[in-house]
Amino acid sequence: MIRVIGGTILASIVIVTLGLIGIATGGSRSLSSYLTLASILFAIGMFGFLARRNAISMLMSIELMLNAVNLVIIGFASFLPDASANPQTGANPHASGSVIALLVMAVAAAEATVGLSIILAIFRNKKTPLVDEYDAMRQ
Amino acid sequence: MTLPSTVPILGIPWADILFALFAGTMLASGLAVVVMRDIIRCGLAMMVCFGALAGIYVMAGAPLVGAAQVLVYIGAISVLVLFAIMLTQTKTAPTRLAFQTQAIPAAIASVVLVVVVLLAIGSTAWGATADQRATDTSAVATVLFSDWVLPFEVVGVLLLAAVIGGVFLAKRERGKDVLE
Amino acid sequence: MFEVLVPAIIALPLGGFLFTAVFGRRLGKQAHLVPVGAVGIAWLIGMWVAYNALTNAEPFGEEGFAHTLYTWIPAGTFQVDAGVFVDGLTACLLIVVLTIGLLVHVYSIGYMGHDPGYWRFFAYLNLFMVSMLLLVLGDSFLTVFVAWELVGLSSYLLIGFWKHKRSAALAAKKAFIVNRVGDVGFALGIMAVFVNTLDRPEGATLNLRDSIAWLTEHPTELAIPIWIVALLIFAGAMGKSAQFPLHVWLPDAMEGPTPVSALIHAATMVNAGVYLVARTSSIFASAPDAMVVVAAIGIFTAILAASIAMTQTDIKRVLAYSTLSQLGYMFASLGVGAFTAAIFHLMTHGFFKGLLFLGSGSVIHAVHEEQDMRRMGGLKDKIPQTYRTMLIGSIAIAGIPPLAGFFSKDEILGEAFKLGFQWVWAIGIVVAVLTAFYMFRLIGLTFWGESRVDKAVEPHVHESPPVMTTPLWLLAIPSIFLGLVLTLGGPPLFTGTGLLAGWLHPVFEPAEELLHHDPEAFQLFGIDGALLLVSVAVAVIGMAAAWRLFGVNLGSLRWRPNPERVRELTARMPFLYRASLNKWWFDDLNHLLFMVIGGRIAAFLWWFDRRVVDDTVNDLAATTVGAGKELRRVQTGRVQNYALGIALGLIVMAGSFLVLAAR
Repeated sequence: MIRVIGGTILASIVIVTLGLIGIATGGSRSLSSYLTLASILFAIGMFGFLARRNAISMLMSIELMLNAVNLVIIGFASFLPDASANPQTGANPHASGSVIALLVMAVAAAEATVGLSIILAIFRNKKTPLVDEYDAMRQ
Repeated sequence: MTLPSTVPILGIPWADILFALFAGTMLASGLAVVVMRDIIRCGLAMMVCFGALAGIYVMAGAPLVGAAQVLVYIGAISVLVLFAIMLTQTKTAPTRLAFQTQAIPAAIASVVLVVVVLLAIGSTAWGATADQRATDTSAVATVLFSDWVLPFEVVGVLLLAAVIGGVFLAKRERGKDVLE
Repeated sequence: MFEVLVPAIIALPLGGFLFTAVFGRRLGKQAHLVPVGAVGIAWLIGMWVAYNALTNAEPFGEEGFAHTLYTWIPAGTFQVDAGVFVDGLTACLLIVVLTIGLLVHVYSIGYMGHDPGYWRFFAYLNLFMVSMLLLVLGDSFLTVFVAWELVGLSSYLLIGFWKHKRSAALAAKKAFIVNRVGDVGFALGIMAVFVNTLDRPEGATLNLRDSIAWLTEHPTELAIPIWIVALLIFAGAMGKSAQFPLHVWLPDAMEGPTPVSALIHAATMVNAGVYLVARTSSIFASAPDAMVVVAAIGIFTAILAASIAMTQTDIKRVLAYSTLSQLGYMFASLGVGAFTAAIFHLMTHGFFKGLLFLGSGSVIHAVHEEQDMRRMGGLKDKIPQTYRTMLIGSIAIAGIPPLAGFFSKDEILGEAFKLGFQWVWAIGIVVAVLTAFYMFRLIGLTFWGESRVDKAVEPHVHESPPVMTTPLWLLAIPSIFLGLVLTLGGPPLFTGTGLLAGWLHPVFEPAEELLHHDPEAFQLFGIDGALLLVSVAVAVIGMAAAWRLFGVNLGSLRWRPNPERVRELTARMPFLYRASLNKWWFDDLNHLLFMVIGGRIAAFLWWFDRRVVDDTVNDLAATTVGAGKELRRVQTGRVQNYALGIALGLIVMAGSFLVLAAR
């Protein structure tokens, strides 16, 4: 019980601290805050990809990186001026951002599928999910 | 009673508080994904991260993407990941180190990257950024099927290929795994 | 006719060599027929050629006969012809070389009869004859040099004839190497001659007559001073004729069979140096300082060798040092300007030294290959012919009149004194005493006194077969009469205008003019007579001293040997005795300088080559391999490591863009 309460308090503190980053960069109505958050998330994902031993952890980190990119796209899309509308179709540029984000999501899904299948196949062969044991290409 | 436009003492708009909450949750759970030892908990943290991200999408004026985020990422991809974790469990996994020997260089690299990008962001004049548009879903639909119909179709094919490929790769061979 | 005959002198032994080399093994005991026959016919032709040359018949005339066989090296304005040249000097040398060569060939039939390498010996002997004849007949410096080297090669082959004997192989190697040192000087001398003749209107030349004439006509305008040319040529002569300090090979060369010692190291090869200096006499005459050097080295060698000969116990070693000493006399004579006297002594020495060596071979053969004189003695009645001929040879070399040695030696000493080189004369007199002493010591130890021969061998001591004793007598005759013959035509006991002088006058005339020699009248009751008496007196003193110490048994004169007195005398002069016995430690000095110090230098250079030169290359390769090994560790096979690399690259790129954009 104590552990639950302690954990909750710790988590809250961390969340508030990190949330200050969002406020410090200008809140929800400034582009740089979205970009800052996205870059931090991307860096977290990169660290996880480079440092974790479990293959599935690496994949989760990849998903984080992709999401960071998605955030950047959405961020830019919502701050585009109106004047950048497509002259041919008169389409709304903001909508394009959403479309791009959706496509990225779809591709991420496909990639996660295939990646996990590969990991499963390797796991059946090597009996371990740890990538530093996959060194058959070692010189 | 109507709320004041900004938080009384701090003078921050209410939307920013929410934004801060979402942002903090996202970053905290993101850290949890890459740091925690137990991989199941990593997966669960990932779901929380996606959820917070969906909230941020909505606040950025892209509700459709936020919905899709919840459906696709939390609902499908995270579940897929958890299934994979289940299928690749080994007995000794929790007792070993979570990090590689190159964790420290990786951490340094990540920090340096953040610093570089932040410098780039900070030194750019973004122009008039106060304006923020909420996106119409019908506008998204229109654009999806006019300007972006080709990528849309291709992505469909891609998903089909991914599904078939995934099934094939993960398939058990006949008669081979019976002895295991 | 002579265009064919003169080359035939060389061609005949060459044919003999080739024939014996190819077919000799099969012929066994008959292998000597072709070589001896070839040399015999060459002797006949040579004597005829010499007769014509010395009597100035056509086509020889006063200048000599030159015939070009073919153009050997055509190189634009420079041309070397392969040809022959015969004048009075050549004729004298031909007489010596061919006669002694033929007699040695005949002698070897008996001496080497039991040797398994019989055919090889005659093949080498013929090769040597070819080389020596080419040397004296050649008409250009290059031909002489080729023959020079060939003679050295033949000497090597013959000294090391008994290949299985390690001492023989080492001696042959030593002879060749020491010769080589001299040859470097000779080669440099030839190059100097070439350089000096570049200014000639007809172009450079190495022809003997032409180049020497050019050098003597323009002694002061030469690119390389003429005294340097003279000294370089003398360096070559020093090597071949074993003058100090290149004398160390000759005593060791006694490891070869005795006929080899007689032919090569007494009568012919060692005379090549004397011949060379005589041939280039006008070059030397243009450089009086060089001549002093020649005289000094010559007389120093003479006394050095004579002092060593006094204590040697091997019969052949005594004769070897005696040869060194007499060669020193010849070079001293050349050095003071008495060229004719030097050639006179060359001829007489060739005969009596050849006789002594062949005689010693006969002695060795009689006592079954024993060469130590301490184990001989009392052989006078057992090998009478050998005894008598060796006695004749000893009297000749000691300079007792009227035998040949007296004339030639007195001529040298007299000329030395009269031409102003009194110090040469004084040392020469001392050498004459020593010569007489050690020669009669040899005779005393070998033939007179009690027999010290090994008891097992004594009953079998016998005289040599006629094939060996005939050459001995044939050599004894010139030893007795040659002096008298060659001085015919002049006042008694004087060689100035005798027969030989007449023959050689055209050859040495240019040199003698350069030195301003006036032949004075002979004063039998003046200076010449006095010098003559001194020479005879010292010879008799030396001989008598030897008789006192080592005994004598000549007819009614019988003195017993006196070993106690010998021991007493050696005890009184311990240093001199030891120095003489150890050959004045020159071999040890050479060993120290070249083997020990040279060996250390060579070892250092080997270390340097291995560690510095080789290791530089090896380390370069090792560095490459090492770098490869280290760089290989980048390939871990783990994707995450590669991804880190990508991340780092990404950061670098982003950072660079940032930096560039900020400017």
